[in-house]
Amino acid sequence: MVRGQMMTLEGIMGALLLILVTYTLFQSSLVISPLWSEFSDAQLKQLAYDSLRILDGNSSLNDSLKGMLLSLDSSFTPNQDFINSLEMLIRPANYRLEIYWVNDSNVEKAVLVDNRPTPEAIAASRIVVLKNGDLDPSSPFYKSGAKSYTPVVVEVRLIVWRA
Amino acid sequence: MITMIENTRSSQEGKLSLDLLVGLSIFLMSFIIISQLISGMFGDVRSEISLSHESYKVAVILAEMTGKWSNGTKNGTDWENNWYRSNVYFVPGLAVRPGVLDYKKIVEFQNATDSDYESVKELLGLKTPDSNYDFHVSLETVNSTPYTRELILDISGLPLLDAGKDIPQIQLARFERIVQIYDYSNVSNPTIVAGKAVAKLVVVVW
Repeated sequence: MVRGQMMTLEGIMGALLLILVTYTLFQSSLVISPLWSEFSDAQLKQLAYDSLRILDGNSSLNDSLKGMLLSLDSSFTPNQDFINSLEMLIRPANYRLEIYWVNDSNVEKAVLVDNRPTPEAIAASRIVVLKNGDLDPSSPFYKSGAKSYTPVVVEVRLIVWRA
Repeated sequence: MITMIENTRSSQEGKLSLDLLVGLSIFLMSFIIISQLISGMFGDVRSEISLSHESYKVAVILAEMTGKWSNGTKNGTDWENNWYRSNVYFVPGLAVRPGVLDYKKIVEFQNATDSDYESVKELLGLKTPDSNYDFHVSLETVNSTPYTRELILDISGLPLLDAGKDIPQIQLARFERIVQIYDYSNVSNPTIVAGKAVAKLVVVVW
């Protein structure tokens, strides 16, 4: 009669099972790898924020955020100087550009550069304050009847992903 | 007596079988080999991540902080005028405000790194009792890439900032910031975006 013994085959099977479990555990503790990809996202996000900060310059310049917003009309096409400057800063990454503003009590949205982002895309935004008096009456942000010093707040959202 | 001995010999109870020993030793051998293999892989990833954190930290210190100096009795943010004096401790930030770099601070950071690389490394927090990293910091044009580096030059044609050790061909971490150079009259051919002279501050740590 054989009792209380472990046979070779059982030993090997047990060993294989334990190795499999240990290996799986070690593999799963490599959740660190998403952190690694998050780090490259952090780099991209930082570049997007830095680019928006650089572009937020004097409103008299065509390639500044304010200059671009002031020159927008109902077609929502940004001027070419602005596009050139933006692309100089964030290429080779691909991007999408959106703006949000409040019109009466509604939040309005417009897409200035319509590229389709990938699921790994990141977003950066910057708030730009314009003066109603600086806007042309044909501007989509113009508030008729408001004072010239009435602030008009526009959020510029830049969505960036690796091409 | 003979019957008793025969009973003991034929008994299968309470014995450590050779089979078990074989199985156990196969397991232990495999376990040791695999754990060594995995810890090696794991260690690599971990060091890569901490490298990235170090490069991010140095990029933030340089691009967003004004820096500071103190000799125990006096202190201030103009470390660029005082770093070379005796008994002075300083943190070498390059900014006048976050993202806007000061020309004088850039030049003095290059000088400080050239004159005492090890102590600048310590001041940037790259050398502690637990860790020791090397670094390279440069100001490059916005079109620069890791393979074709284009440094920002001053009016005499020399690189404005290209400090630290030469970048080796090993595992390293790189972090880039887009910065504005505040007083760029001494910079040759600056790239102007929205009326600002822009450059890439590139920090490499290994």
